[in-house]
Amino acid sequence: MEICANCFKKSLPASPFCAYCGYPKIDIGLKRCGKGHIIYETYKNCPFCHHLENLGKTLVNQPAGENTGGTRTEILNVATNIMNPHNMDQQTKEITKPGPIDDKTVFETGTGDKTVCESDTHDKTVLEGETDDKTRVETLTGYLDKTVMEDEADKTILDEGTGEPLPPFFAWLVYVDEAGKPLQDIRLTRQKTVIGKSADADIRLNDPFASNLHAVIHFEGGKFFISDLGSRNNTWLNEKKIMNEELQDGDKIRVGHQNIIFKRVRRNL
Amino acid sequence: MNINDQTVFEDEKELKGWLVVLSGEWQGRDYRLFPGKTILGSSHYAHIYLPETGIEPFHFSIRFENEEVWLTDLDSDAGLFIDEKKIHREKIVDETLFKAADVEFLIKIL
Repeated sequence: MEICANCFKKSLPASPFCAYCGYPKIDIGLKRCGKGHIIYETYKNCPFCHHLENLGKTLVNQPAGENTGGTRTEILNVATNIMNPHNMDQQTKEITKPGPIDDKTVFETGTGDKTVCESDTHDKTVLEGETDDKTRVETLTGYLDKTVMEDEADKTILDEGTGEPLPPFFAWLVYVDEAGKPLQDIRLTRQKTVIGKSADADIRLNDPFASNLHAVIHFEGGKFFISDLGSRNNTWLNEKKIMNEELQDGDKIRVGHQNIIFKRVRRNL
Repeated sequence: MNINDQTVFEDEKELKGWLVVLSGEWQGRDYRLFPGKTILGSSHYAHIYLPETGIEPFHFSIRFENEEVWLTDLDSDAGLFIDEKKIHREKIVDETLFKAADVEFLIKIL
Protein backbone atom coordinates (compact mmCIF):
# COMPACT_ATOMS: atom_id res chain seq x y z
CA MET A 1 0.00 0.00 0.00
CA GLU A 2 1.15 3.51 -0.76
CA ILE A 3 0.32 6.69 1.06
CA CYS A 4 -0.80 9.68 -0.94
CA ALA A 5 1.40 12.72 -0.40
CA ASN A 6 -1.63 14.99 -0.70
CA CYS A 7 -4.37 13.39 1.41
CA PHE A 8 -2.27 10.79 3.29
CA LYS A 9 -4.75 7.99 2.54
CA LYS A 10 -3.69 4.50 1.54
CA SER A 11 -4.47 3.14 -1.86
CA LEU A 12 -3.38 0.47 -4.29
CA PRO A 13 0.20 0.78 -5.51
CA ALA A 14 -0.67 0.02 -9.14
CA SER A 15 -2.55 3.27 -9.61
CA PRO A 16 -0.70 6.37 -10.80
CA PHE A 17 -3.22 8.61 -9.04
CA CYS A 18 -4.66 8.57 -5.55
CA ALA A 19 -8.14 7.03 -5.68
CA TYR A 20 -9.38 9.54 -3.13
CA CYS A 21 -8.04 12.90 -4.25
CA GLY A 22 -6.60 12.20 -7.69
CA TYR A 23 -3.13 13.39 -6.76
CA PRO A 24 -0.35 11.68 -8.74
CA LYS A 25 1.47 9.11 -6.64
CA ILE A 26 4.24 7.93 -8.88
CA ASP A 27 6.85 9.75 -10.80
CA ILE A 28 5.17 11.21 -13.86
CA GLY A 29 7.67 14.02 -14.17
CA LEU A 30 5.82 17.01 -12.81
CA LYS A 31 7.27 20.17 -11.38
CA ARG A 32 6.10 23.62 -10.39
CA CYS A 33 6.90 26.89 -12.07
CA GLY A 34 7.94 29.86 -9.96
CA LYS A 35 4.33 30.94 -9.64
CA GLY A 36 3.17 27.55 -8.48
CA HIS A 37 1.56 26.07 -11.61
CA ILE A 38 2.02 22.32 -12.01
CA ILE A 39 3.65 21.48 -15.33
CA TYR A 40 5.57 18.63 -16.93
CA GLU A 41 9.28 18.36 -16.26
CA THR A 42 10.00 18.58 -19.96
CA TYR A 43 8.61 22.10 -20.21
CA LYS A 44 11.20 24.84 -20.39
CA ASN A 45 8.74 27.52 -19.40
CA CYS A 46 5.30 27.50 -17.86
CA PRO A 47 2.45 27.32 -20.39
CA PHE A 48 0.14 29.12 -17.99
CA CYS A 49 2.23 32.12 -17.04
CA HIS A 50 5.46 31.67 -19.09
CA HIS A 51 7.41 31.86 -15.88
CA LEU A 52 10.98 30.75 -16.36
CA GLU A 53 12.36 30.65 -12.85
CA ASN A 54 12.55 27.84 -10.33
CA LEU A 55 11.61 25.10 -12.74
CA GLY A 56 13.81 22.42 -11.29
CA LYS A 57 11.56 21.46 -8.43
CA THR A 58 10.05 18.04 -8.90
CA LEU A 59 6.64 17.59 -7.38
CA VAL A 60 6.09 13.92 -6.91
CA ASN A 61 7.93 11.28 -4.97
CA GLN A 62 8.81 13.81 -2.35
CA PRO A 63 8.28 13.45 1.37
CA ALA A 64 4.83 14.33 2.52
CA GLY A 65 6.12 17.21 4.60
CA GLU A 66 7.46 18.93 1.50
CA ASN A 67 4.30 18.49 -0.48
CA THR A 68 3.38 21.77 -2.12
CA GLY A 69 -0.13 20.66 -2.92
CA GLY A 70 -1.90 20.89 -6.23
CA THR A 71 -5.38 20.39 -7.49
CA ARG A 72 -6.68 17.85 -9.88
CA THR A 73 -7.67 20.65 -12.22
CA GLU A 74 -4.11 21.86 -12.44
CA ILE A 75 -2.92 18.39 -13.26
CA LEU A 76 -5.55 18.05 -15.97
CA ASN A 77 -4.44 21.38 -17.35
CA VAL A 78 -0.96 19.97 -17.64
CA ALA A 79 -2.24 16.98 -19.53
CA THR A 80 -4.13 19.28 -21.87
CA ASN A 81 -1.18 21.45 -22.59
CA ILE A 82 0.74 18.51 -23.94
CA MET A 83 -1.47 18.77 -26.98
CA ASN A 84 -1.28 22.54 -27.19
CA PRO A 85 0.47 23.40 -30.46
CA HIS A 86 1.84 26.55 -28.85
CA ASN A 87 3.89 24.40 -26.54
CA MET A 88 5.09 21.94 -29.13
CA ASP A 89 8.35 23.74 -29.68
CA GLN A 90 8.92 24.09 -25.99
CA GLN A 91 8.82 20.46 -25.09
CA THR A 92 10.08 17.16 -26.24
CA LYS A 93 8.07 15.57 -29.00
CA GLU A 94 7.02 12.57 -27.02
CA ILE A 95 5.96 12.71 -23.45
CA THR A 96 5.26 9.60 -21.49
CA LYS A 97 2.31 9.95 -19.21
CA PRO A 98 1.70 8.23 -15.90
CA GLY A 99 3.97 5.24 -15.76
CA PRO A 100 2.97 1.62 -15.64
CA ILE A 101 -0.75 1.19 -15.42
CA ASP A 102 -2.36 -2.17 -15.13
CA ASP A 103 -4.98 -2.99 -17.71
CA LYS A 104 -7.75 -2.93 -15.18
CA THR A 105 -7.10 -1.53 -11.78
CA VAL A 106 -9.96 -1.56 -9.35
CA PHE A 107 -10.17 1.09 -6.68
CA GLU A 108 -12.48 0.89 -3.77
CA THR A 109 -13.55 4.33 -2.70
CA GLY A 110 -14.50 5.33 0.80
CA THR A 111 -18.18 4.98 0.01
CA GLY A 112 -17.79 1.37 -1.01
CA ASP A 113 -18.29 2.08 -4.71
CA LYS A 114 -15.88 0.40 -7.05
CA THR A 115 -14.34 2.39 -9.84
CA VAL A 116 -12.28 0.81 -12.53
CA CYS A 117 -9.34 2.44 -14.15
CA GLU A 118 -8.90 1.36 -17.74
CA SER A 119 -5.64 2.00 -19.46
CA ASP A 120 -5.04 2.13 -23.15
CA THR A 121 -2.21 3.06 -25.39
CA HIS A 122 -3.71 6.45 -26.19
CA ASP A 123 -2.98 7.59 -22.69
CA LYS A 124 0.58 6.47 -22.43
CA THR A 125 2.14 8.24 -25.33
CA VAL A 126 0.74 11.52 -26.39
CA LEU A 127 0.23 12.54 -29.93
CA GLU A 128 3.53 13.00 -31.61
CA GLY A 129 2.95 15.03 -34.76
CA GLU A 130 -0.80 14.76 -34.46
CA THR A 131 -1.22 18.44 -35.17
CA ASP A 132 0.11 17.97 -38.68
CA ASP A 133 -2.92 16.46 -40.36
CA LYS A 134 -5.72 18.52 -38.83
CA THR A 135 -6.06 21.68 -36.89
CA ARG A 136 -7.10 20.35 -33.55
CA VAL A 137 -8.45 22.29 -30.69
CA GLU A 138 -7.56 21.14 -27.29
CA THR A 139 -10.16 21.24 -24.59
CA LEU A 140 -9.53 21.00 -20.92
CA THR A 141 -9.57 17.27 -21.15
CA GLY A 142 -9.25 16.52 -24.80
CA TYR A 143 -9.52 18.04 -28.21
CA LEU A 144 -11.95 18.77 -30.95
CA ASP A 145 -11.36 19.11 -34.61
CA LYS A 146 -11.43 22.87 -35.04
CA THR A 147 -11.99 22.81 -38.79
CA VAL A 148 -14.95 20.51 -38.49
CA MET A 149 -16.47 22.37 -35.59
CA GLU A 150 -16.17 25.77 -37.28
CA ASP A 151 -17.70 24.47 -40.46
CA GLU A 152 -20.51 22.75 -38.64
CA ALA A 153 -21.42 25.89 -36.71
CA ASP A 154 -22.63 27.47 -39.95
CA LYS A 155 -24.20 24.44 -41.60
CA THR A 156 -27.65 23.03 -41.47
CA ILE A 157 -27.43 19.75 -39.63
CA LEU A 158 -29.11 16.80 -41.32
CA ASP A 159 -30.80 13.96 -39.53
CA GLU A 160 -28.54 10.93 -39.81
CA GLY A 161 -31.51 8.64 -40.29
CA THR A 162 -33.85 10.50 -42.60
CA GLY A 163 -31.47 13.03 -44.16
CA GLU A 164 -33.97 15.79 -43.39
CA PRO A 165 -32.59 19.06 -42.02
CA LEU A 166 -32.82 19.28 -38.25
CA PRO A 167 -34.24 22.35 -36.55
CA PRO A 168 -31.47 24.69 -35.42
CA PHE A 169 -30.22 24.03 -31.93
CA PHE A 170 -27.77 25.68 -29.60
CA ALA A 171 -26.27 23.59 -26.84
CA TRP A 172 -23.01 23.58 -24.94
CA LEU A 173 -21.09 21.36 -22.58
CA VAL A 174 -19.33 23.35 -19.89
CA TYR A 175 -16.51 21.72 -17.95
CA VAL A 176 -16.51 22.88 -14.37
CA ASP A 177 -14.17 22.27 -11.47
CA GLU A 178 -15.16 20.84 -8.11
CA ALA A 179 -16.32 24.26 -6.95
CA GLY A 180 -18.52 24.66 -10.02
CA LYS A 181 -16.36 27.28 -11.68
CA PRO A 182 -16.57 26.98 -15.46
CA LEU A 183 -13.27 26.04 -17.04
CA GLN A 184 -14.17 25.54 -20.65
CA ASP A 185 -17.14 25.22 -22.96
CA ILE A 186 -17.74 23.17 -26.07
CA ARG A 187 -20.56 23.88 -28.48
CA LEU A 188 -22.49 20.83 -29.65
CA THR A 189 -22.76 21.05 -33.42
CA ARG A 190 -23.52 17.46 -34.33
CA GLN A 191 -26.57 15.29 -33.97
CA LYS A 192 -24.45 12.78 -32.09
CA THR A 193 -21.46 13.69 -29.95
CA VAL A 194 -19.48 10.84 -28.43
CA ILE A 195 -17.53 11.50 -25.24
CA GLY A 196 -14.70 9.19 -24.30
CA LYS A 197 -11.03 8.53 -23.92
CA SER A 198 -10.49 7.15 -27.41
CA ALA A 199 -9.25 9.22 -30.31
CA ASP A 200 -12.45 8.14 -32.07
CA ALA A 201 -14.57 10.11 -29.62
CA ASP A 202 -15.74 13.55 -30.66
CA ILE A 203 -14.79 14.93 -27.28
CA ARG A 204 -11.73 13.22 -25.90
CA LEU A 205 -11.24 12.96 -22.18
CA ASN A 206 -7.85 12.63 -20.58
CA ASP A 207 -9.30 10.79 -17.65
CA PRO A 208 -8.24 7.28 -16.64
CA PHE A 209 -11.68 6.70 -15.16
CA ALA A 210 -13.45 7.32 -18.46
CA SER A 211 -14.02 4.55 -20.97
CA ASN A 212 -12.82 4.78 -24.53
CA LEU A 213 -16.34 5.47 -25.78
CA HIS A 214 -18.09 6.47 -22.60
CA ALA A 215 -21.32 8.23 -23.49
CA VAL A 216 -23.11 9.82 -26.40
CA ILE A 217 -25.28 12.93 -26.50
CA HIS A 218 -27.76 12.92 -29.32
CA PHE A 219 -30.38 15.34 -30.57
CA GLU A 220 -33.71 13.92 -31.63
CA GLY A 221 -37.17 15.40 -31.98
CA GLY A 222 -36.10 18.73 -30.54
CA LYS A 223 -34.72 17.08 -27.40
CA PHE A 224 -31.29 16.10 -26.24
CA PHE A 225 -30.60 12.68 -24.79
CA ILE A 226 -27.55 11.19 -23.13
CA SER A 227 -26.83 7.48 -23.35
CA ASP A 228 -24.19 5.46 -21.61
CA LEU A 229 -22.15 3.36 -24.04
CA GLY A 230 -21.52 0.49 -21.64
CA SER A 231 -18.87 2.34 -19.71
CA ARG A 232 -17.17 0.71 -16.74
CA ASN A 233 -17.70 3.57 -14.32
CA ASN A 234 -21.11 4.56 -15.62
CA THR A 235 -22.48 7.90 -16.66
CA TRP A 236 -24.04 10.05 -13.98
CA LEU A 237 -26.72 12.66 -14.47
CA ASN A 238 -27.50 14.89 -11.49
CA GLU A 239 -25.76 12.31 -9.28
CA LYS A 240 -27.90 9.44 -10.58
CA LYS A 241 -26.57 6.58 -12.62
CA ILE A 242 -28.26 6.58 -16.01
CA MET A 243 -28.41 4.53 -19.17
CA ASN A 244 -30.51 6.77 -21.41
CA GLU A 245 -32.04 10.01 -20.20
CA GLU A 246 -33.35 13.22 -21.63
CA LEU A 247 -31.13 16.21 -20.93
CA GLN A 248 -32.52 19.43 -19.55
CA ASP A 249 -30.89 22.83 -19.49
CA GLY A 250 -28.49 23.00 -16.55
CA ASP A 251 -28.18 19.25 -15.98
CA LYS A 252 -24.96 18.07 -14.36
CA ILE A 253 -23.19 15.19 -16.09
CA ARG A 254 -20.31 13.22 -14.63
CA VAL A 255 -18.11 11.12 -16.87
CA GLY A 256 -15.12 9.58 -15.14
CA HIS A 257 -13.96 12.36 -12.84
CA GLN A 258 -15.13 15.15 -15.14
CA ASN A 259 -17.99 17.37 -14.11
CA ILE A 260 -19.88 18.79 -17.06
CA ILE A 261 -22.89 21.10 -17.19
CA PHE A 262 -25.23 20.82 -20.12
CA LYS A 263 -26.71 24.08 -21.37
CA ARG A 264 -29.13 24.55 -24.22
CA VAL A 265 -31.44 27.15 -25.70
CA ARG A 266 -34.93 26.00 -24.82
CA ARG A 267 -36.78 28.27 -27.22
CA ASN A 268 -37.99 26.94 -30.52
CA LEU A 269 -35.95 28.86 -33.08
CA MET B 1 -13.91 35.50 -31.50
CA ASN B 2 -15.39 32.16 -32.30
CA ILE B 3 -15.97 29.14 -30.18
CA ASN B 4 -12.80 27.14 -29.66
CA ASP B 5 -10.57 30.14 -30.27
CA GLN B 6 -9.91 30.33 -26.59
CA THR B 7 -9.20 26.95 -25.18
CA VAL B 8 -9.06 27.44 -21.45
CA PHE B 9 -10.46 30.52 -19.83
CA GLU B 10 -7.98 32.90 -18.34
CA ASP B 11 -7.78 32.85 -14.57
CA GLU B 12 -9.56 36.12 -14.07
CA LYS B 13 -12.29 35.40 -16.61
CA GLU B 14 -15.22 33.23 -15.75
CA LEU B 15 -17.66 32.31 -18.46
CA LYS B 16 -21.02 33.96 -17.89
CA GLY B 17 -22.95 33.06 -21.01
CA TRP B 18 -23.17 33.25 -24.75
CA LEU B 19 -24.51 35.64 -27.37
CA VAL B 20 -26.12 33.73 -30.22
CA VAL B 21 -26.67 35.24 -33.67
CA LEU B 22 -30.02 34.07 -35.03
CA SER B 23 -30.17 35.83 -38.39
CA GLY B 24 -28.02 37.48 -41.01
CA GLU B 25 -24.74 36.42 -42.51
CA TRP B 26 -23.37 35.23 -39.19
CA GLN B 27 -26.43 33.18 -38.27
CA GLY B 28 -25.60 30.22 -36.09
CA ARG B 29 -22.50 31.75 -34.52
CA ASP B 30 -22.15 32.10 -30.79
CA TYR B 31 -19.83 34.29 -28.79
CA ARG B 32 -18.74 33.90 -25.21
CA LEU B 33 -19.63 36.50 -22.64
CA PHE B 34 -17.50 37.24 -19.60
CA PRO B 35 -17.95 39.44 -16.54
CA GLY B 36 -17.95 43.16 -17.21
CA LYS B 37 -18.79 44.85 -20.47
CA THR B 38 -18.79 43.24 -23.89
CA ILE B 39 -19.31 45.53 -26.88
CA LEU B 40 -20.60 44.25 -30.20
CA GLY B 41 -20.08 46.21 -33.38
CA SER B 42 -18.71 46.28 -36.90
CA SER B 43 -15.45 47.82 -35.74
CA HIS B 44 -12.41 45.68 -35.30
CA TYR B 45 -12.01 47.32 -31.94
CA ALA B 46 -15.33 45.97 -30.67
CA HIS B 47 -15.04 42.93 -28.43
CA ILE B 48 -17.34 41.04 -30.78
CA TYR B 49 -16.70 41.96 -34.39
CA LEU B 50 -19.82 41.56 -36.52
CA PRO B 51 -19.53 43.25 -39.93
CA GLU B 52 -23.22 43.16 -40.80
CA THR B 53 -25.15 45.80 -42.72
CA GLY B 54 -26.75 48.22 -40.28
CA ILE B 55 -24.58 47.21 -37.36
CA GLU B 56 -22.62 50.22 -36.19
CA PRO B 57 -18.95 50.16 -35.18
CA PHE B 58 -19.99 50.06 -31.51
CA HIS B 59 -23.64 49.14 -31.53
CA PHE B 60 -24.55 47.76 -28.14
CA SER B 61 -23.00 46.42 -24.99
CA ILE B 62 -23.84 43.58 -22.64
CA ARG B 63 -22.74 43.96 -19.06
CA PHE B 64 -22.64 41.21 -16.44
CA GLU B 65 -22.62 42.88 -13.06
CA ASN B 66 -23.71 41.67 -9.64
CA GLU B 67 -25.57 38.67 -11.05
CA GLU B 68 -27.52 41.00 -13.33
CA VAL B 69 -27.27 41.36 -17.07
CA TRP B 70 -27.77 44.72 -18.74
CA LEU B 71 -28.20 45.41 -22.44
CA THR B 72 -27.32 48.95 -23.51
CA ASP B 73 -27.70 50.68 -26.86
CA LEU B 74 -24.59 52.73 -27.62
CA ASP B 75 -26.50 55.57 -29.30
CA SER B 76 -26.85 53.66 -32.54
CA ASP B 77 -28.89 54.99 -35.47
CA ALA B 78 -30.53 51.67 -36.19
CA GLY B 79 -31.39 51.14 -32.54
CA LEU B 80 -31.86 48.16 -30.31
CA PHE B 81 -35.20 46.41 -29.91
CA ILE B 82 -36.74 43.91 -27.53
CA ASP B 83 -40.17 42.70 -28.64
CA GLU B 84 -40.31 45.49 -31.25
CA LYS B 85 -39.85 48.05 -28.50
CA LYS B 86 -36.85 50.35 -28.79
CA ILE B 87 -34.71 50.29 -25.71
CA HIS B 88 -31.78 52.28 -24.40
CA ARG B 89 -30.77 50.28 -21.35
CA GLU B 90 -32.61 47.22 -20.18
CA LYS B 91 -32.09 44.47 -17.67
CA ILE B 92 -32.33 41.15 -19.46
CA VAL B 93 -32.77 37.53 -18.43
CA ASP B 94 -31.80 34.14 -19.80
CA GLU B 95 -32.88 33.55 -23.42
CA THR B 96 -33.90 37.14 -24.10
CA LEU B 97 -34.37 37.79 -27.79
CA PHE B 98 -33.43 41.20 -29.16
CA LYS B 99 -32.72 42.86 -32.45
CA ALA B 100 -29.98 45.25 -33.57
CA ALA B 101 -30.52 46.67 -37.07
CA ASP B 102 -31.89 43.61 -38.89
CA VAL B 103 -29.92 41.06 -36.93
CA GLU B 104 -31.57 38.95 -34.25
CA PHE B 105 -29.67 37.86 -31.17
CA LEU B 106 -30.31 35.67 -28.18
CA ILE B 107 -28.62 35.78 -24.79
CA LYS B 108 -27.94 32.50 -23.05
CA ILE B 109 -26.82 32.84 -19.45
CA LEU B 110 -24.78 30.11 -17.84
